[in-house]
Amino acid sequence: MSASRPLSRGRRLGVHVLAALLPAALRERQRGEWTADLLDIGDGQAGRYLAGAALTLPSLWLAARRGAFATGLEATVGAGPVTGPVTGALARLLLIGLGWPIGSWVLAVPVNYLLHHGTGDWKPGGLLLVALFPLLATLVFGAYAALFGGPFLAGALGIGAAVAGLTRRRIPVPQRLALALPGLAVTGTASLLIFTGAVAPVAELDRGYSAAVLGLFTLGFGLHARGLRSPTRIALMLIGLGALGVFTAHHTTLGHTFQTWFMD
Amino acid sequence: MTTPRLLVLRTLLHEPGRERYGLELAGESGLEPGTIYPILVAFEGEGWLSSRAEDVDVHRAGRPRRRYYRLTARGVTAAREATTVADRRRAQRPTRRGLAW
Repeated sequence: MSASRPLSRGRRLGVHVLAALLPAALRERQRGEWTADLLDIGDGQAGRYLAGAALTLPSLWLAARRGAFATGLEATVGAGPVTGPVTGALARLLLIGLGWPIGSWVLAVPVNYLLHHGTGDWKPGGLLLVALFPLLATLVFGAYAALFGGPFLAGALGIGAAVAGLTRRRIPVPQRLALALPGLAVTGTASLLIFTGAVAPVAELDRGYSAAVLGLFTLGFGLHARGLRSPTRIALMLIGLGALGVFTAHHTTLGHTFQTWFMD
Repeated sequence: MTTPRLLVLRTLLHEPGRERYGLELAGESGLEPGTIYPILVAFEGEGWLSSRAEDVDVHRAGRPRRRYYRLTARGVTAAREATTVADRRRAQRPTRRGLAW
């Protein structure tokens, strides 16, 4: 059957997201299969089709890893995609620099609220507090960086760049420094602005916009960047969605309740 | 061997030489469209199916090339064995003649 009209934007996005979550060897092939099917089936069935296809993702992963398919019709699954140096560095920067504040915000604000609201805040004491202090401090500072945005988030990204550069042992030292030094510079500048009080008005005005912009970028990067491994792609997309959650929390009543409870 | 896999094998065995695409095969097997591909990829991985991209001008067709699947000789043998085993098991299962009380 030949198609008379192209796939709608929503369906195309659905196929794109599902295909992005597949192993690289199967991605293009399966994208073609799903697209052609969606063009064939009726309008009313598309949602059901995509839901069914989403449920098959784990099975497709397993099927693609086993048997002769894994050794290559179009490519090999086991070898994985080849990530370019810039793409790899940017992915690592976002995973650490944005993953830390956004992940901390998710755990410390909405998840913490849903788990402990009404049952009393969970407050470790004594030795437990001492033992957990580094973890709790990382979580709380990360959550505040996401919450305040602007220079706070820039500072977190700078730390992410520094950590990403300094801990990546497989790449040459000049490349590592090219990532780490600007990161340290950004963090230093952001810290200076924050501690001198120069950016307090900016932080108040941010209201999640910097998180939203970075979230959209990370989501798009996770979806479109070439050569990323699927776990990295999924993690980037989750971080992007989490950052959009920060923006949403700034602009909804429920989100305000979460944030106020956290800050109190 | 799961029921969906058996359904696909039975459909393929009905006309072993015929090529079918995924959606067509899902419809003929009575499976939910969109859920057949893990089965096809797994069978292909086992060497039971061969597939080829459709020879079509994608611009004129207005859609990507479909992939056509067909049982291999090994697949025909394996499918016959699998369906025979499943039929035998079903025949051995005790049939309930009415209610228990």
